[in-house]
Amino acid sequence: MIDFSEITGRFDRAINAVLEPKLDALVGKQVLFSSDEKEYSPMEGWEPKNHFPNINTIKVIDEPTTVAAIDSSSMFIGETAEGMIYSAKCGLALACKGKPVMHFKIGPMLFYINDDIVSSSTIDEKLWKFVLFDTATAKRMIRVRIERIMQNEMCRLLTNAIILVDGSLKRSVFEDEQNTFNSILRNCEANENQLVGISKTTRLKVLDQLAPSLMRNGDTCYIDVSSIVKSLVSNVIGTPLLAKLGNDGLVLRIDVLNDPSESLGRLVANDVIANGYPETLRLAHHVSIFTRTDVTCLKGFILSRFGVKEMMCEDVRRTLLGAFL
Amino acid sequence: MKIVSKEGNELLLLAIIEDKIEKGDYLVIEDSKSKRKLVVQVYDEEYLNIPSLTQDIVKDEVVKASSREGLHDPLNISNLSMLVRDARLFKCKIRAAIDKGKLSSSVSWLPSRVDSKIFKLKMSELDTLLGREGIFPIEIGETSDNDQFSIYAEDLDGNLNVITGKKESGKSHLAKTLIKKLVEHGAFVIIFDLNNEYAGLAWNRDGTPSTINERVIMLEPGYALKFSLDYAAKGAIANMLKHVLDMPAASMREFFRIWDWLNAKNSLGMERFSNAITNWDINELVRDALVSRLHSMQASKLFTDDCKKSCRFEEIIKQNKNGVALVIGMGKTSPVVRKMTVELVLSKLVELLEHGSIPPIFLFAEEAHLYVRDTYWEDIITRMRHFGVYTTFITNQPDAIGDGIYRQVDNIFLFNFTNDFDLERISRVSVVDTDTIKSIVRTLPQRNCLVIGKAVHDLPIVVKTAQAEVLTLGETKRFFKVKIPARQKE
Repeated sequence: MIDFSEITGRFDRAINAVLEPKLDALVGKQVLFSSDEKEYSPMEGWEPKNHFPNINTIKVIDEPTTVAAIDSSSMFIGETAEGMIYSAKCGLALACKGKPVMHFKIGPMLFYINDDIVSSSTIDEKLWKFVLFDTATAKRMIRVRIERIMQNEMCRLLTNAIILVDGSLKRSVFEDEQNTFNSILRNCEANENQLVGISKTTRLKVLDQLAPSLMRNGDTCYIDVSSIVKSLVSNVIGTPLLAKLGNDGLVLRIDVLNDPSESLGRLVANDVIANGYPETLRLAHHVSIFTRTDVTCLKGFILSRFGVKEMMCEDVRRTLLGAFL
Repeated sequence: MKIVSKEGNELLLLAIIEDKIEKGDYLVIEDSKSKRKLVVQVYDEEYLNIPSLTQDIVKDEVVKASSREGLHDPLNISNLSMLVRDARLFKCKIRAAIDKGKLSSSVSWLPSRVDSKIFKLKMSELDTLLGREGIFPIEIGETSDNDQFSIYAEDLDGNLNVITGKKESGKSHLAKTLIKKLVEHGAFVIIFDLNNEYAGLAWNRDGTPSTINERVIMLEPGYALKFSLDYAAKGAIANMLKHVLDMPAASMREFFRIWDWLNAKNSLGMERFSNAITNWDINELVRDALVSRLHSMQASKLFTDDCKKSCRFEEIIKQNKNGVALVIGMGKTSPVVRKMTVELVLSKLVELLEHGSIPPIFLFAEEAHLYVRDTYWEDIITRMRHFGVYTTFITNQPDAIGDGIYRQVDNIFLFNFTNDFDLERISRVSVVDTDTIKSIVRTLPQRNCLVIGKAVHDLPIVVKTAQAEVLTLGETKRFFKVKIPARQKE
């Protein structure tokens, strides 16, 4: 017979050796529980561990400047035996002098990614193979390419404008030759545009520890976190900041190419800031996301236009693990 | 269109592309695999209502409200999205199946969602399936396909009909159309006209004589409508005294003793009756009772001692063998005289029919609850029907007619009602399900009616009734209508 207590004893010892629980250290700590594995931010910020002295107030620069925000989304629609079908949408919103000017909806567009595309592409073949078999990577590739095109076009079209992009400013392996981040930077410089990347959340937990200092400050303000970010992440472009764009807004990670005071000063003067987030970027996000109706219509379009045959499908996890999953 | 679901005898159909289908329309669901067909009727429609769709609409409107929108949609997916937003669900009731080209009631099978084709059934096709035909058509209007729709005079013959709907919904127009066509087909029609509006039957809207101009006879109580006591006869007078003038039994006995005495002397008349009461040896209280009733009778001017001036229905009918409309105009008569008139006319008609002196007649009674006593209703729909009085009630108060009467109704012409109580009342007693009545009738436009009953072989049909060809009288007099032209001139 198997001695179960001996097995569990050995199991505990082995676990403690490789993954020490250290639950004692939890005593008396502030805790932020997760729901559905989502990451949240504490409403009043973490209790500051160390005071960050260099808080800069954002001074409003009341000069008319166009703010253009770009966002996109992509979605896995279906697959064939040879490839995957994706769709993408892009949103562009413009504001000036604190008022929304216009917004554009682009898409939905459809893409079928199969071996043919891999062979005709200039991207590294291994990376393409990855795109071909991993839907998350493929979606990311589509988004990067679409956003880069839009960012490049805006940088070419506008002068003295602020170009807002969702996320941090960094190069991507998925960029195409015509619309690389470098070309965007060149066009920005040529037309005196200011590129600003705004991230809603950051994976760098250390930055969360700095947020309370900003939150307790009554004004719109920012701190330069270049030294921290660049020590943890390579491939960073411009100056990473933690900024609070509204007096009672949330703290965001913002990457700027130029002088932070000028970029942020013009941004808060020319865009509508609600909860510390630019309204143009919010609008661009909303017009770029897929609705259920979009997905239904896309499927209907594919069925009617391309003469494809819809196959029956099953949820493998549900089938294997049961209905209680 | 596709079948979405079925519950009981109700089917839910999804329509994406704009089909010209309205409430009340009939659809055929043809199962191409089993080669069977179902006939369903649309009784309600609504938007495809899924939470995500509502969210999309709200989000879109908020986004559009925030700034001007530009759109680049290379695949034109937004058009498809609009189609989805406009998708409609038709709620239908299963009415019948089509078996070898004929309607059957075998509806206990389920059509395929995948293999079923759904198409609109034209009213002419439905007529063919129903085998609805007759010799004396009455064109009452149009269906939603703009096809002429007729019922047949035979459908009203021997039947009890109700025309009901709220004020100004088109009841009188339909009644006039029915009467005119019945007379054209040679029928004898008596109309209890409460608003003196049926005299217009003799004239077209443009003022020219109508096709039944010669056959419309106005009988106004006290004027053209008078009876000699002799003609009215004891039975009709007894009914009138008892039910309208509330004469006690003791007084009644004395009244008819005098009646018999005068009759034996062959001198029955109002003047002589008055003298006889004065001289008759009776209790003074009874005398007072008799005198007061006789005064009421005299004041009504419904009675004459001149036999030549007495109205004789059998004579009128004999002189108008090709049909006649006898309009008993009671617009200017008092409520008591109105009731006396109706009591006398109905009693006399029954007597004449009993003796076979006149052929069956069609009776149109507008707002009959105002002049027909409660106990008389049952009499009209049971006894009188057997003698040959085929009644059509026209009312805007469905609760004025008792459940017992509704249950015997053969045809209902149901115009718009928005009041829940009225709809509830009608749907409770109708042969058609509550959902259909409530949903269709509530949204019927003016002059559209839902025909229910034998005339449509128990398949409810929505008809846009034709405007009556005849002159419309009895419209409500308005104060400001007179003033408006004067202002325009200025």
